[in-house]
Amino acid sequence: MTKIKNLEINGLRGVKENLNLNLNKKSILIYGDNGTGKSSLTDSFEWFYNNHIAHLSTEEISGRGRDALRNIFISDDEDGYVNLNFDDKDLDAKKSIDGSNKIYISNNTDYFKEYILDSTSENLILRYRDLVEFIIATKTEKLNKLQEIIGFSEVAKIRTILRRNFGRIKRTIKSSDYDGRKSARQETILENLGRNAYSDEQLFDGVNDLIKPLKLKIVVKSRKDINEVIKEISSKEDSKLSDEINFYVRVKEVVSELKEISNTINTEYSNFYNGFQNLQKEPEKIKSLQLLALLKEGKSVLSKDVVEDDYCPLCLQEKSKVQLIQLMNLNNLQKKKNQLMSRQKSLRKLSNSK
Amino acid sequence: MEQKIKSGKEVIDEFFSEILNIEGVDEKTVEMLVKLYSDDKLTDTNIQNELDELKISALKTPKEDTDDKN
Repeated sequence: MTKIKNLEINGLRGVKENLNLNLNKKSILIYGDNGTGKSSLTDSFEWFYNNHIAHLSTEEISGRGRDALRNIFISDDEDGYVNLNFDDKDLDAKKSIDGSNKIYISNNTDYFKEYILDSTSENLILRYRDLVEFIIATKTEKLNKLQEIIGFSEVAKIRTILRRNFGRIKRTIKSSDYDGRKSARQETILENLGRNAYSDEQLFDGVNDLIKPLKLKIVVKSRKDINEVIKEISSKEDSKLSDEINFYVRVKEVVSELKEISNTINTEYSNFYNGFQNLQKEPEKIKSLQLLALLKEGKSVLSKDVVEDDYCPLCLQEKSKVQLIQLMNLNNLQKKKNQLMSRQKSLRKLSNSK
Repeated sequence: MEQKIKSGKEVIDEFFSEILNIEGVDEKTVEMLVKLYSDDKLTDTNIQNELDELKISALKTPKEDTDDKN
């Protein structure tokens, strides 16, 4: 594991003059009152590895937070920089930002670039807000976050894609009513051959028995042979009658499909009706939905750290930020909203199909 | 203590290299999924399009050259 020997910061965030920390490859804990520069250190560190500072990358601060990176008291011709020395000397690098916000890195080797890329995927930075959000998150959100941290988010992504498509195929099979069609065709076979046929061999035996009286000199051993038989007898038969038979067979199949479709419509409609009745019983839910947009905005303000002190961005009263984030946990409300949306979708589907 | 932990990519690669050995899977479907993955094109839309293609070609060429003339 690569370790940092020395860290030097100058002219970045709250650090105006040179800050030099000799870590000597050891871990450190930094504590102190608000405004003493702890975040300046982590911000500089985050910028070095990620090339941006997440909590500064907001709409208010342009250039992915770059505009807020330089210390405001240093002169335009002075560079702000982070200089890191590692136990592996080949990784030593100084990253600077000049007065026009241009960025320079002293180490341009592929080895260093690879190291930075690997470090980025390892989620080196864990902010207090991330920790709070993790603690109050739902089980699924926690799992997603952990997968992201250990580099398994790609596995989760592919699993989701495969599961979603599995579900889609399952639904298509169900809605196409293949079972219904199969049994309709099975019925036709039973009617015409006088027996069931669950395999090609059983079908061929049945067909051979059926055509025996016609003395066609063809023995059916494959599906191709069936085509031959059809060709042979269709020239001798009244083709109009044959078309009519085919037409009625098709009608029978379609009617069996319709039966299944009307069942689906009935089930969907009764789900929608019950959902609608339930909704009418709970007018509070509708009121909650109307508040959703406002609460969402509040959450976004809190999560972007626009409000730094402990007060509510909506009513400006004094509130603990952690408690506010907990209160703003909109998952349940969002779930309810999704349920309502899906009911609305079902209704639209029904009215369109009519 | 120094035990090799598989990375996410290794887990997925292994899955796609062994998926064909799972009993009862449809060979063409699996080949399609493996190809999409190796081309880095495994998305919902691409899977859906490929499945439609497979369905169409399966309907065109049933077991032996029979056809549904109805």
